[in-house]
Amino acid sequence: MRFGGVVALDGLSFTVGEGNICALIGPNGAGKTTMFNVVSRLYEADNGRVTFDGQDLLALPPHKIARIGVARTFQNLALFPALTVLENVMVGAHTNGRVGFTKAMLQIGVRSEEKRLRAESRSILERLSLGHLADRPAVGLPFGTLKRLEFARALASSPRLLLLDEPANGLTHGEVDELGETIREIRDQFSLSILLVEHHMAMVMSISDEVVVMDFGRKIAEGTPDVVRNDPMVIEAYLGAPA
Amino acid sequence: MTAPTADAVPTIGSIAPRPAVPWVRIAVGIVVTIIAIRLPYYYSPETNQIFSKVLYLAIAAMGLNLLTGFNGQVSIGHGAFFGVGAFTSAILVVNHGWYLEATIPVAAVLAALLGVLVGFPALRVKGLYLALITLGLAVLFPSVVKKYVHGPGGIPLLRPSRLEVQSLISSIPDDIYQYYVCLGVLVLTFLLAANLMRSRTGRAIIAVRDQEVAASTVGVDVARVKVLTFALSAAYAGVAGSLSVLIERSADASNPLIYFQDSIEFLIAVVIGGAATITGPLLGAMLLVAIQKRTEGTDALAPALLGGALIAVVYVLPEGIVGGYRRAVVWARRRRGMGSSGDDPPASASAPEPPSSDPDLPAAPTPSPT
Repeated sequence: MRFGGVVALDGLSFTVGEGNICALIGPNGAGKTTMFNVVSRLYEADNGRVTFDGQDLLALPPHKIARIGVARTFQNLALFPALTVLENVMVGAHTNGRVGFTKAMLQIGVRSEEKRLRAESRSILERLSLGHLADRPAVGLPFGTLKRLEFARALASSPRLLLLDEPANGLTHGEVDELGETIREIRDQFSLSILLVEHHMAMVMSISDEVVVMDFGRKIAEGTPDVVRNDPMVIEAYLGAPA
Repeated sequence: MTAPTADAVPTIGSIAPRPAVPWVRIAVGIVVTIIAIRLPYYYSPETNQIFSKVLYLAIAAMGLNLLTGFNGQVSIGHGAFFGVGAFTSAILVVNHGWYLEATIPVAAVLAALLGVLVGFPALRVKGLYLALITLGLAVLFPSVVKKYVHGPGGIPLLRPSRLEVQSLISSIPDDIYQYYVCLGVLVLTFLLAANLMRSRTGRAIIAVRDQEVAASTVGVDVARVKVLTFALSAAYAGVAGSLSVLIERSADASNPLIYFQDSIEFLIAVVIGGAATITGPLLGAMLLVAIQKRTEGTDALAPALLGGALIAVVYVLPEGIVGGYRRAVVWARRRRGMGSSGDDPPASASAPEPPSSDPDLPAAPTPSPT
């Protein structure tokens, strides 16, 4: 992956084990979000392979990625401001419905589908303690709440792999601990694999099964949190070269 | 479309789950229905023609609203689709002896096909550029017609005779019959649009407007939604064009800017009625025609008066009539809440309008595009 002359991702290779929480960490500009955008097909990779459960993701258009079970959140929020909180999650459940233009206009199968999508979305909102906000417009809610809403929207597509882009960004310390807890529980409850980009090291180290460290688009270390924490390359990347 | 700011009426474009219908709404519905049915019997044929014009204008505006209001694709070329509908019907009636009523579906299909043709290149351009391209379409259309349609005297004008558009029900006078045809088609098209917007696909249409990238990552086929919305929107304009032949007894492309003017009228109806609302286009069409009729006959001043009136309306009601109404409801509810706490319904209850954002919440950043 390149932007002009800059190589943003360079020979990066790793695997997220099924049911694992894998954290992708590295200094700003290391290429973590670029990596997400390649996987969700928002960026076209120059070469390389991304496979999910044996399927080549790079051969699919962006809207098919959710359909095969890969969902994501956005670092800087990409919600639908005109829709209510519940409707945002219902859009997330788009792949779980089938009513298209014709059927919708003629009201064929709409009622039952709406009922089902609304119930599913509501239960996800309850799960993330957003139930009381369901009928509020998404616009105007606090940042931390909207981050959780992004999480809920991603869950609504019944993913098997969830990409979380800085979920702890903008949260208070107490909230971060709670979020770490929630991520683990949700992983178990929905049998997910999770790939996480996060700067909040305490949370990364406490919830991850594996950690991949990137710098300048390359992988510089990989392993369990304990291994990575003591890796000299990682310490150098984060703290600068030893004097 | 830009993201609404926090202090805007927060529900533009939001289609809340069908609210529990309070008796007030049922009563209003019955009264409106009776008025709509009885109305033409109290007015002259000339006035009924104006009522009919409001109705077909509203259908075209609804079509444009689906595209521009709900889906965020700006078109100032919908007059071209309107023209396709008008000439399809006029040619079939005048040259092939069809009943005008039977030409309406044909007009819809042909306009939709042209909509698909325009919808694909529209995927590559946005905002002002799309507006310009569609504008070109409306300006181009009359010259195309001129080349292929030769009415009396060689001008691109087709006039069905009175017999060709007369009432098919002998007990109902022509003007009232034509009004009823328009009313029937209006009710049908508005129901279809309301159904669409209350479904998964309706949410996808709005999601594509608000956050195209996020919509695609949750599995919305953005290109498909945009092109189909374009086609549907064009079909509405085509149907309206077809009805215009019934009412005006002509399809006329002799004025090269006529369909551009129509495009602008549709856009005005959408904006003053309330973009991305279901009833807005109808209310907008009513108000627009009312202003036009009030300012008519003052000769040179008419366009200036119309313009001035429009500025005033947009200034007073920046979100259109429906947006203004919602604002008023929210304001009234808040006042009542302050005056006597207790009888104010909870914000999330089955209120007819979705609740507003709470002023007590800390100011939060508006969700912004990545």
